Amino acid sequence: MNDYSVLVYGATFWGIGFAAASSGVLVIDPGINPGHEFADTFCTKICRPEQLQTEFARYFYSVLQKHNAIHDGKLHPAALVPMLCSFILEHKINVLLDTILIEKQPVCIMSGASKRNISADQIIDTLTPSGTVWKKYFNALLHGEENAVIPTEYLNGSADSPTIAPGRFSSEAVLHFPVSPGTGYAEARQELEAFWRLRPEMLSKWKIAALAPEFYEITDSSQQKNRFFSQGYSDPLLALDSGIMEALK
Amino acid sequence: MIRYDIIVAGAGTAGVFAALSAAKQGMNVLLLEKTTACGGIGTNGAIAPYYDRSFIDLSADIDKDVFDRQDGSGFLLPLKRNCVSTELLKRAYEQELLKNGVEIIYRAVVSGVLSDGNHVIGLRWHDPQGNHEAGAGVVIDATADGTVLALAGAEFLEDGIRQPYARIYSYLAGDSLWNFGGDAGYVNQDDPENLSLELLKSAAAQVPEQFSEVEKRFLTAPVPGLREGRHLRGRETVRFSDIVHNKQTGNPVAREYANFDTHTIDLVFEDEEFYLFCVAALQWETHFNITIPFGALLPVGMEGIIAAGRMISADHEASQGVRMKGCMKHLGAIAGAAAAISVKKKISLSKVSSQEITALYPLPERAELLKQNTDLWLSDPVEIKEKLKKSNPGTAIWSAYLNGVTEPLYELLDESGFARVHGAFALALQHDKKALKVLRELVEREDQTRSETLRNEPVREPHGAIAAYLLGRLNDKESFPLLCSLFENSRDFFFVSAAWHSLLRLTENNSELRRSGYEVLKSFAEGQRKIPPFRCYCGEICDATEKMKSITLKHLKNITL
Ligand SMILES: Cc1cc2nc3c(=O)[nH]c(=O)nc-3n(C[C@H](O)[C@H](O)[C@H](O)COP(=O)(O)OP(=O)(O)OC[C@H]3O[C@@H](n4cnc5c(N)ncnc54)[C@H](O)[C@@H]3O)c2cc1C
Repeated sequence: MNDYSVLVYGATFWGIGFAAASSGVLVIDPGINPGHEFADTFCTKICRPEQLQTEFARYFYSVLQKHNAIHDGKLHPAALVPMLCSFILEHKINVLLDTILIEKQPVCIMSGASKRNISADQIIDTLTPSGTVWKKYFNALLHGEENAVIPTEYLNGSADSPTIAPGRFSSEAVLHFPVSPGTGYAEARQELEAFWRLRPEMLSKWKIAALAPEFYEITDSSQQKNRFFSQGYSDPLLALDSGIMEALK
Repeated sequence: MIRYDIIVAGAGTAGVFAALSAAKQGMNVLLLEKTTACGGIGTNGAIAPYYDRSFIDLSADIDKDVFDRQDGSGFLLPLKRNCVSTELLKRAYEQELLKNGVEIIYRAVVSGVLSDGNHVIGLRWHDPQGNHEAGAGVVIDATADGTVLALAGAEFLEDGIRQPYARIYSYLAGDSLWNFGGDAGYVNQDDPENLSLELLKSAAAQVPEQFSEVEKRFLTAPVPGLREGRHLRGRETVRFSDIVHNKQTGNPVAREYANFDTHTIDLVFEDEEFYLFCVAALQWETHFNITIPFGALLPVGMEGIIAAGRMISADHEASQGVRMKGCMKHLGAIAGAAAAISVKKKISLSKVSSQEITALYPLPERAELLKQNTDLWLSDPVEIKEKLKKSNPGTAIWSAYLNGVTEPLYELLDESGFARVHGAFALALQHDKKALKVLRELVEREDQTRSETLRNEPVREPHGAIAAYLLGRLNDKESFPLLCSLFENSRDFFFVSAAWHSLLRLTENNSELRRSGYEVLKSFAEGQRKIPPFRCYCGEICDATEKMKSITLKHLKNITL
């Protein structure tokens, strides 16, 4: 079957939410990890369940909780990919991973070496911000040795300097490292490594376990303009909830 | 249109060194990578260990530099302390590439090939900014799966079975970082629907009861842990059979030193000679020199494109040995050098001399262990016979097979223990029916004894199971009822699968057994019976019922009653 009502670009939380509450939707993603826009940027933020408007999103929240991935308003980011994959299978959402959108008219998608034309009444792009990016971060997942604490100056720093957010476990934290919007991955890695090499002694109990495979981008705040852009939401469940709401409209 | 001397597709294990080696020859190089970092499985896939080591200085120098500074780096280090941090390597590769003038574009997926007849002259790619194209003197396909070659219309070797893949994630192991690369089953990455479904299923299967701080998870790798994909049909091909029969010839440009590191869920599903070699001759762990001729990197009937990485021309069995990081980096460097020579001298890739390449990147030596594969094999029948008496007969079984040693082994059949069993195995490999008595006995008592490999590891398959397989090889019709009973009643997976394999053969090859064999196999294929579960190579519990049913159904279709 190659006819779809909607082609969603991005197996993002928003995109998966939208597809879960619609029919005739195909979701494609260039990567292999659904929910990468939050998982691969090490998001530790999670809203309260009361903030969620849909049954689906509250259900996802409860499953995260059941598997010990949320505690005290903080999220274990490594839980997102496996849990979202499980959600996609459970709700039989039509997802093609490792697939790019190479032409919009006519719609042509490509996976590995195979290209195909499909028809879709609408394309929703959840990967590209429609507003301008005004803040960009290259994050790193930190592992704390015994008794590692996050120094207050990093907990409450300004958005323009490196800050550290606690994760779900006491030994888990995320370094939010700001870079300018035009920075590429090579430069970002260089800047972050240089900062980390000269980090102050008070961070010595923290080690970098992984560098984010993706930038975390914050766009101008007009939600209307950016309502499809999944990373524009402050946490994965708000994005999921919003995708579902959009489908139910 | 912008033009580069060389475009490398894929900045993975091989691609990084293809680009570096070409740039070091003064080439203007573009490197396209679909993820956001260099290094492929060795960085994005968090696979830190070398199977053997890095075979080229280009890579060994980078490794050493990172290794020397990683202790105070503030990065979590790999569990195996001789390994290099995969996160620090990403930057180290990038730095070296940029220093040598290579232009890198991330999030660039190759989407098409520019060609002039059968000559590749450039590439198209897609990145978040849109679609682009550029011309090139030579294109190097380092995408692991041969995606560019497929887009260019290259031919591939017969599509056979592939190795299981892994859904890798990194996690906290003690006070270090390690990767979980356990097998996640079979996948066909050329079928987008199948790949997606398997990626979803394998990640979903990794949801634990409770996420926890012990073995805390870090990241699901952004690249799939694919061990095998398309194999190019090259001007020359690396073949398993040539390796184990000492028939490797030609002018090699690279050399792998590895065992046939198979992750197949059971070797009965593989080619017969591969089973005989790995299981019946106990050679699964033996390391070999596997030589790679230059022609294995060159597609037949095509110009302007060269392969670097695990898609080179090697058959499925050989490729299980020719895929390790050290060798892939070497192949990358070779492809880069060959491309540079082709561009500089304005000659086609097939005209580049392998001597010129090996002058730049010499073949790695393993003098301390093994100079020639032939050093492994025994030729003296007396020595072969003596070795067969041991629990770890080394290469004696295969040596007997290679040299046609039969008669001196008959005496062993009257002995007891390993001598008797190994003697029977060596004879059965050679279709000698004198082995039948011993083999039948082993099956009758479901003999659970296990021999040891060259490295003194017990093999997975017990003597009785190997014997059940060999009875099929010898077309032993008399064993048919015995094998039926074993297949239907044994509670040990290896006995069941070996008996099943032999039943398929006996049913196909003997008209008088056809109807009864058909009934037994059909009742299994269409019934509810579950095959006993077992532990596969990576230690996970596997269930092969569906795989065995689908193979059975295929065979039944070809049987005329
Ligand atoms: C789970 C697992 C464990 C392993 N363990 C070991 C080990 O312990 N020791 C060892 O020596 N070997 C090990 N290996 C084998 C070895 O790591 C690989 O065989 C080897 O790294 C493959 O190298 P490659 O260059 O062919 O592919 P890769 O390293 O995978 O590189 C391919 C690159 O191409 C990019 N790419 C793909 N398609 C495109 C496209 N269309 N456009 C642009 N870019 C593209 C990819 O993103 C990637 O960066 C392991 C392999 C696996 C899967």
